[in-house]
Amino acid sequence: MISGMDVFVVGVPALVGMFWVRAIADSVARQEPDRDGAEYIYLRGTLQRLLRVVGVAIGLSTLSTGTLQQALVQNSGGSRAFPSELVLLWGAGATVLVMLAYVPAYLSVRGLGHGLIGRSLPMPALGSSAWFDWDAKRKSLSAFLQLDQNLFDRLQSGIFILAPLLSPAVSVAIPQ
Amino acid sequence: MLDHGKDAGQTSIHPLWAILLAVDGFLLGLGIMYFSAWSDPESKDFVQSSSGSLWIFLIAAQVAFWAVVAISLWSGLKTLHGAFRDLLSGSRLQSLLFAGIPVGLLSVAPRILRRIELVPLPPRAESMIRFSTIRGRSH
Repeated sequence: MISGMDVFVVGVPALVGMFWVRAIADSVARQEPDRDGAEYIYLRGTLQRLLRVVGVAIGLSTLSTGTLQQALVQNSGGSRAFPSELVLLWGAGATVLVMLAYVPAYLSVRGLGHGLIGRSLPMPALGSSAWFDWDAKRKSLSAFLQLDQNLFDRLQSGIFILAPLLSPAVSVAIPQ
Repeated sequence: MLDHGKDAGQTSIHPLWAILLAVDGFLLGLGIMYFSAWSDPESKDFVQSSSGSLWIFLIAAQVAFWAVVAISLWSGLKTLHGAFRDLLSGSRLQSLLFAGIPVGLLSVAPRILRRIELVPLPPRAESMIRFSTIRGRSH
């Protein structure tokens, strides 16, 4: 059976938090686009922290499941049936659940950030003398808002998201 | 409106408290797992094995992690909800449904995994497994 306490203490709150971030980002972008960038920075930071927290929780849970599987097999002399693939299945399932919550929230927050840039720095006529100055400012603002990072960069910065998949993969790879 | 020091998921408790919580959580996890493990020879052999001890250590580490993270996570989410209460008022039902997905999986999974044999530990330890990782079903 899949993690209970992890799900209730950390998993559900973190996933609901990600859902809230997405809902807030969409609402701000739709209803109150003239707000300053504080909301964007707050939501971006919150989303990354939630990703780290839930990633560590699932990683630990999956690692312990892999250890349990090995302990069972070793202590029963192979008579107990606990396929190592189930550990991988748990890690993959948890990762998919997290991604289902994280990716839409990430895209909404990113959209909010791009909207901020669009309103703060409207694009001048292409090829005009102001265009190059605008482009430099836009790049600088994008870097400040971390909009130059794509989804994979984000997942790398919250590397723990890979833990759910890595730990069972290692567990499966270790010979019994 | 926003308190950036209280982002959801950020640990805002004093480091000393965090260490104390982690130690308490770890000891609690060890206590629950070892509490009834000595009641029968099979359980005793299991927890005394190197792989069984490592597994119990990881379970205790999980409980320590929950103890440290839970307070800051929940207070951070409360802050997030409080700061954007007006924007979230229309998505209560969706939030509940969203929370129901992992809970639903949690209740369906054991039926799927019933063929797996259970760890040779007594019921108290079994309940801990249920709360922390994959579990099977006892004979």
